[in-house]
Amino acid sequence: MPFGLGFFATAGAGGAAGSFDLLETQVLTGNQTSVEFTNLNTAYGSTYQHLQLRLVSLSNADTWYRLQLNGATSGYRSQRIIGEVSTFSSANYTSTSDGMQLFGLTGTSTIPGRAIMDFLDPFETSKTKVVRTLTGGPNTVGFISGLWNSTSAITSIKINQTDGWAFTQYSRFSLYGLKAA
Amino acid sequence: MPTNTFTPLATVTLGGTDSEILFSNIPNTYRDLILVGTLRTNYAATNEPLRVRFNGDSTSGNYKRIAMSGDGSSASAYSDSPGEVIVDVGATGANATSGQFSSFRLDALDYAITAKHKVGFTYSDIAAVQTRRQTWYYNQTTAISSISIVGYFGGSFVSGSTLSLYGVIA
Repeated sequence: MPFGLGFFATAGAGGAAGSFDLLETQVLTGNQTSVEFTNLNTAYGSTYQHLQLRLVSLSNADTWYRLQLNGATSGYRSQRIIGEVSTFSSANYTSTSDGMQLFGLTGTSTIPGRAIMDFLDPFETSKTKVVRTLTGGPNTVGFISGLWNSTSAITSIKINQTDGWAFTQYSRFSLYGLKAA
Repeated sequence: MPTNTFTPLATVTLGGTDSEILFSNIPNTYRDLILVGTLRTNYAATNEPLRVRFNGDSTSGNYKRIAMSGDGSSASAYSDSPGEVIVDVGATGANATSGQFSSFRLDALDYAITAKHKVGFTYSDIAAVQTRRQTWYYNQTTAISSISIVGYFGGSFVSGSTLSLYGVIA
């Protein structure tokens, strides 16, 4: 049975802003080796409990990018499980100078990489920072859990490509805030 | 300025059986779509995979999926290029415990952006069977305007099966 959305067009439309809000979006018009969201605690720390980054990326390489918080060059740890065609594997990683290693897939020039990245309690100064990502690329799906061993509120989130590769035109990075009840 | 982001577009809750759940005339004014719900079919097994097709397209090779799953004793990965997004353990079947439905979610990212092919994720879980995460790819730049979900082996969705479609702006 089809449910044409014309019938439901008015259901849930309009109304007051809810608890899941779009904060910022960056859509690339050319090559960039990194994408950064800054001033986060000042802009959003008093309103939102969690952050989510949703991204669809094109790249001149089929590789992994890194996640860097507050420009920190140490204090990271991550665990990942991945499926690559027919191979399942797991691994753990420590810091690199530009963030958590292998935190998401870039995609290629035609097949987008994709990720939904959750930052839980990013502004709490009583907790170290945790983040998880579900990511996919042309031949890989991955679920990664990350730790930044700092109680500092997150002020910036940066996605870094490495080894000279870049995100390309039409790549989209959208940051959302989730309010507490 | 924060913007209200997460908009319910349509919800289906079946009061009887139905061989297909179809969302059509999906507006192209959002950035992502999220389809979430709990499902059960009358297929004679504990679970049934689902076929998810976009825009009625069933062309073999137009879709690709890469999945990883665990069933409590082993973990595995799988990939293929069928004529739809196949979601294993997408629904419980007739032989599952009474009242048990699957947990199902599909994300379609940049579904209406015509500069890109389409990508997303599926999340399908039945606690007594398997947990599965999958990424999918659809090699068309046409905006997704319809999503069809059917049982892979021909099972029909039963009363109580629910799916809600949300639009997410960016």
